Amino acid sequence: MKGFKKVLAMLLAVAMVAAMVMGCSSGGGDAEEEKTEENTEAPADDAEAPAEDEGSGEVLKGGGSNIIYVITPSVSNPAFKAEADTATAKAKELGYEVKAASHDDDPTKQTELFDSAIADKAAAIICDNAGADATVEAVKKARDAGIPTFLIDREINAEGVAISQIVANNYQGAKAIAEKFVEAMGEKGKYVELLGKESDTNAGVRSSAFHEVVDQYPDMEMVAQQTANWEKTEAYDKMEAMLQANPDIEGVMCGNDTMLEGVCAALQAAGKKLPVIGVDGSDEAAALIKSGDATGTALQQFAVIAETAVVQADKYLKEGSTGADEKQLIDCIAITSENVDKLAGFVYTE
Amino acid sequence: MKRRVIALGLTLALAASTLLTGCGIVKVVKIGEEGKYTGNVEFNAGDDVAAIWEDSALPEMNETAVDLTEFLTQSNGDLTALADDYGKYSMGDSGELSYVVKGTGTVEEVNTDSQAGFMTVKLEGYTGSEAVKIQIGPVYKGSSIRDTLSFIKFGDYKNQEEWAAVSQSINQVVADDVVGPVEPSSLQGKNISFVGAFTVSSGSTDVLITPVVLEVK
Repeated sequence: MKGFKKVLAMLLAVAMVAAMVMGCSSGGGDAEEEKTEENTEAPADDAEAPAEDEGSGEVLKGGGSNIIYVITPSVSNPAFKAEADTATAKAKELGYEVKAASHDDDPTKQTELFDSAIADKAAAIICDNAGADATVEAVKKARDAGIPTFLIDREINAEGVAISQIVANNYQGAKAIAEKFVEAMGEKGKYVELLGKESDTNAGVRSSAFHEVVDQYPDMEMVAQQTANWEKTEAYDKMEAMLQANPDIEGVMCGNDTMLEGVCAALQAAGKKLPVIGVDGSDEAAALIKSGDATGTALQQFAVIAETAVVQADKYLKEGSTGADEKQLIDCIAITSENVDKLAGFVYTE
Repeated sequence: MKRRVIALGLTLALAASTLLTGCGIVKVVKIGEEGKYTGNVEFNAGDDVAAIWEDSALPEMNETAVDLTEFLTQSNGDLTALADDYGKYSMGDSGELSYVVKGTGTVEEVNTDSQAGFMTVKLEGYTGSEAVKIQIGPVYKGSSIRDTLSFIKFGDYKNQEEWAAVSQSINQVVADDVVGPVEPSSLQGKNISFVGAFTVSSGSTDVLITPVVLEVK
């Protein structure tokens, strides 16, 4: 018994000392890390002080090469193709070499592409990202390698990591076109919704914007809601099945225009013409709006967004600042039969 | 007995050393600043709007509102004509254009056929063709009020959903505190004064105002 108490006392004493030492050493470690960070940043800050006005840390110089990476979702979607093509053209025009690639909405693949950019000592990365949370680490890694990232179309859930986030205002656009949808439905009736790919922030954003508007109308009743993963054929199949289950559907909301195409094809096959809305502003959707098969879409100004990002990247590399806020919203434009003639190739001309 | 006291003493000392050292084990975080450490701030648009409404939003809008009769007379049919003088664009110098306006007039019609209800107002001293409408809900379209305020911007919010939630909360305040109390259904033929915001709509000269002040004379 005596021995046990001695051992206990010893153990407690050791634990106490250990707690103090560990507590202090971790605190001290943090302080040291902060110091070394300050040291490495200090000279860079001094050199760039006149150009830097954003106060968000050091100015990134680029990796050293003259290559701009353009990373987008799959270019099988004409919207992303327009975005990638515009960014590529603008960067070449400004004298950069361009490497364009798609992450196919796979964060792992996106990380690999960022790693390639770092290995290539890229001057900058233009990216329409593969996930609001998943992308943060990749952008940080590029930042640590001195490579500035300019995000387009979709935003990420962190600030101070990317230099610019030039975001299509999906929420505003989806709301605007949802208002047209409600008008076309006469504020009442059964409708269905096709959602985009769940991992993509915009799928959720667009759906909540649709519902912010539509759910305020008590006589609008959603009878089915399914994902078609942004895909045309999947949308066709889902629409066909939903029509069988609910023959009295009076309208369809689609998270994007490729699904809208599938839905319109399924409705045509069933001999129906109903109010249908999408988001993106593709030429295919424009044609369906002109023919009266679709009600409208919300144009995301992909070309404007992509070009703005490249111009800001160039300015940042040359002057150390974009001169703009990190987060910038680019409005969507509601497209209906009234103004569809002004839309071509994702460009709206007044 | 003595040993027990020693053991107890050591236990207390251990507890004290673990809890009370200033070596980083315990950190005092001020209320409201947790987000700096966790990266997670519980966002509540309603609280945000409640905090700005009386103290910042209303005073600013009362201050900057331009008289709608004069505004429409000067614009002469082109609602973008006075953008540089009174308007605010959603993207700096492009995008959606919003104005803060005020005026007095007679309610000609109260339209509640649509959920997005409105009343048409015949402005005092104005004979132009533009239809002046004041939104009375229960559905409020657009985000005109948020988009005219100078002191909040998208960059202050985590993402576009939170930014949108701010506008939703503002419209809720309008429904509860501005439109609700005046009982719009009773306003046909009455004289009213208003302060509010509208966004220029493409392809229409309707002035669809979301009110922030609505008074029956």
